[in-house]
Amino acid sequence: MKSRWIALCLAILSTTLIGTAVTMASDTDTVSCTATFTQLGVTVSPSNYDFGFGQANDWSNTSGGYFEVQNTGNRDEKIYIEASPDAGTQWSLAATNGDDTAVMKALGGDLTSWTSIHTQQTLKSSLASGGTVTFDLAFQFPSSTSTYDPQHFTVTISAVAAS
Amino acid sequence: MRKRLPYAIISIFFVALILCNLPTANSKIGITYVPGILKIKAKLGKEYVVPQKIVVGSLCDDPRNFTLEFVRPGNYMEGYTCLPNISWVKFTEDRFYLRQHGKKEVYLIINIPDKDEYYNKKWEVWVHGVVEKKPNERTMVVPDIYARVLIETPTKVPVRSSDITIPVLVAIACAAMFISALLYINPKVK
Repeated sequence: MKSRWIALCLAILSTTLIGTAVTMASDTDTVSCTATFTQLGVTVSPSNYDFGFGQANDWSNTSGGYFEVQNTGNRDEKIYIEASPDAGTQWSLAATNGDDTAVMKALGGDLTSWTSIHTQQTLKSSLASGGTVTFDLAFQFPSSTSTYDPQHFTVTISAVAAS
Repeated sequence: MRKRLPYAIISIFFVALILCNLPTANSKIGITYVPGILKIKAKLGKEYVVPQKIVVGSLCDDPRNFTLEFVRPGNYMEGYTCLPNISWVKFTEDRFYLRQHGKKEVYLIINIPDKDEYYNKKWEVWVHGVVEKKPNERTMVVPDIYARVLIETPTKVPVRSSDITIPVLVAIACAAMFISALLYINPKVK
């Protein structure tokens, strides 16, 4: 009879131990997250411009706020602008022109004078939801060129939620 | 009548060509991303999908590829620092094709190693959403967006059970069950 009691106690102990092991091994993690309902959105129109043909040191530019950027999000956005040569383009961009080196400048928004955009510039420090900013681009041809093929550049308009 | 047919076909071809080129020449191009700020209370030591839908929308007048990538922040929300390793975060899909004004839902996947030094941290990483240019496309002005992902890790380092704790418990339980079975079957065993 005594042995049976011991057997019962051992059975209870083993059940408890297995229960503990199962609890320790169980995986019931949850992840919580908070999404602040901010919609980021930006459009540019038109998306194209051809500066055409030019001679050494020539300038060509748009006028009258040719490009329009709109904040289609639901909160203020900071808008940046930067130009870079496309892959395979032989001309580079810099603050002043040179051999195979052109200049791209922008005017509009917070850029109250023609500003080189070979590095990132703030076009508008705070563009309200639904608001627009217009800008123009100017392009100066290199002082000399090793190519007479069309050269392509991309102007990137970046929108960041204003902090 | 038959002589006019080739001219009519050629005329239609040129008109069609002009119409096809018009949207790409002066079309609007844009991107939306929701949510612009995503705050996550993260768990460490396992990979999981964050249960928050992220919607990328096309504001383009033509179909295009869109790309999402994680980048170091250009500035930080107060109290946050840069996520130590950008490979800890990824999307369920990071490159997809959207028709004009189409939308795509993706989710964030996080896998932060479970190390003591990663507890009680507030990290920030940015999502860079890009509208891709088409091959050989002359589109010159391209928009992109940067959204914030804020990650907070648990404040307290947990008391860790060693790797052998569970097997030892199971072994002891099995031994106890075996002995109890023996005692039950043959109570005279000493």
